[in-house]
Amino acid sequence: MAATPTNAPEGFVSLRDVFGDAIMALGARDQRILMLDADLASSTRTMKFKKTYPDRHYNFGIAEQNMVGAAAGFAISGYIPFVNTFASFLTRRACDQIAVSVAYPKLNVKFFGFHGGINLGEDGATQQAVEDLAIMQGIPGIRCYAPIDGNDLARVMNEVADVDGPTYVRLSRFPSPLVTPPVASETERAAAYRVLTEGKDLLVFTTSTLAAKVIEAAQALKAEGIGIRVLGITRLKPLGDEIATEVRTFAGKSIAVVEEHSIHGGLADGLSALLDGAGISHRIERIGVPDRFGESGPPDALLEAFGLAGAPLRARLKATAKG
Amino acid sequence: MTDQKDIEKLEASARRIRAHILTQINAAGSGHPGGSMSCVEILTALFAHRAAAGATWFGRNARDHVILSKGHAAPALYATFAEVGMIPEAELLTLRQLGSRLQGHPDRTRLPEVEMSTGSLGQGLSVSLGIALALKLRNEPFYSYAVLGDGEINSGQIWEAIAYAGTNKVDRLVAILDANGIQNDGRIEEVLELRPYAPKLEAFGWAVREFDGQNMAEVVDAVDWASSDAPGNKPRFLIAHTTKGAGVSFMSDRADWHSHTISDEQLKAGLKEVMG
Repeated sequence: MAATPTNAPEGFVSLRDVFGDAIMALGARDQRILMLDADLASSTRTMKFKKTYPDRHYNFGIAEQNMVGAAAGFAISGYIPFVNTFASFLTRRACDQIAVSVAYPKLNVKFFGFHGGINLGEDGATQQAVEDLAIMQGIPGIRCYAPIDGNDLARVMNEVADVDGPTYVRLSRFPSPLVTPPVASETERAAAYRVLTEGKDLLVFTTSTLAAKVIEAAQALKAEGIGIRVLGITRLKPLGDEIATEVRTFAGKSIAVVEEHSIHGGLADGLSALLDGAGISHRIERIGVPDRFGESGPPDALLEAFGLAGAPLRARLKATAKG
Repeated sequence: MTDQKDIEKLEASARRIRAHILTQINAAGSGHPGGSMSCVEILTALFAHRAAAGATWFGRNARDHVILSKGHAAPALYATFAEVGMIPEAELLTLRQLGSRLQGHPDRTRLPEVEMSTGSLGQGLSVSLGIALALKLRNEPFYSYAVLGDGEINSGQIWEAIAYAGTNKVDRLVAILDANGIQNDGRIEEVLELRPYAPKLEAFGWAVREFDGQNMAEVVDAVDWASSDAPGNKPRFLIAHTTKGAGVSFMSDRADWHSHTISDEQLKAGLKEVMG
């Protein structure tokens, strides 16, 4: 899929670059696919699509509500609109349009929220989305994805292109390590979940590119004799029932969810609902953004300050493992 | 110019649609009579004249598209569907009942003849814009109509769509404003004054025409104009000056009839007025 960007360390890939390549492949395959932008085409990597398919690219300006409504009109007319902008502007600003004009009439519109979470860093809280998944998961009928690396996004792109109905894909900004295997075929879809590290002391669920930070923490704790089984969740809604089986096999041991999202309405809530439905009693340690907005700072430092990476994350996981 | 005899036929349709609106809201026990009655001539001109809808119209691929953006006027839309044979007349009495296809606000998943689920105001014009862009992309000779309320255009999204359509010369898009001068909380000038409309819209690059929205001949003439090459390479905006609750004297131009039930007595009096 995507080549490693020149500014990224070996093995690191930016999701938006994978997105940019994937839409070219999908666009060639399916003439019904349209790209809709809101004055951020350079950030969302749709410029190449625009150049190659000028008739199938629309820039709505900084007018996200109109963009989402027009996407509904295109979908009614048999097209498959891919709606692109920052996760914060899409989900917060056009929430009602997504719910009423797209999800309620069950239209085939694909939403892509760029720079999800707090890893946008220095730009600060207004551009960061700590609640995008809560908003989108709360709207009936929208499938939600948070790919854990570039390879995973490639599989998600195949899946959302095939699914008839609204989908939301959260993308992170900066190049991140490849932690899942390369895509096996052009039609391979995302797995319900993926085992990222093995261990018997603690079960950790994570999602999005934050998975790489959780793997780092698990590897460091392994040296201290704490084994962590990390499961990467790509599709948050619907959440695969097989995930409950994983928890059953860990009966009596600690579970944590690590997510670059509010502790309200994200993966932890989705997992709780799944386990409640399956009749599995549990206590989940919620490691995410508490009830607050993000703030400015270098991305890695910010993730650490929020306890989502580095030493603070290791300390949290260690304490949870020891119960 | 449409023949006088055809106009009289459309006027008869409009009277029956008004009667259906009253009957439906009486049966449902709630609803929005005021804004339903004011847009009757607009919907009649679109479905019975322009689309010549009939029972098979909706099933065709090659056709115009109509979105009732002011979704609370759903009774007027359903009554128009019944009048042109798209849904059974008897079904009108199921309005707002549990399990009905006729939801309180239009829902295309229940009733596919509804082109777009609406009811959160301000959203329909953008959807009509998307359809108009799709028509242009396919080079199809049809039009995409959105029926708006003058309270509804308080919404910023409407003006986003207006700016986009003007900038990009979306000439397959026709917005029709049911300008009855009253919104939920009172008169337009007391809540949010956006008049005069025409100079604003012209400045955004739209071709505009104003007319009496309760005069069938004028409405038909305006729709014909908007659905032709005459306005040139521009989106088209029809400002229909109407009266809230038109056709029934005790509802006419009254803000408190925006959302209101209709008693059996009021139904009887109203039917007498609209059917003459």
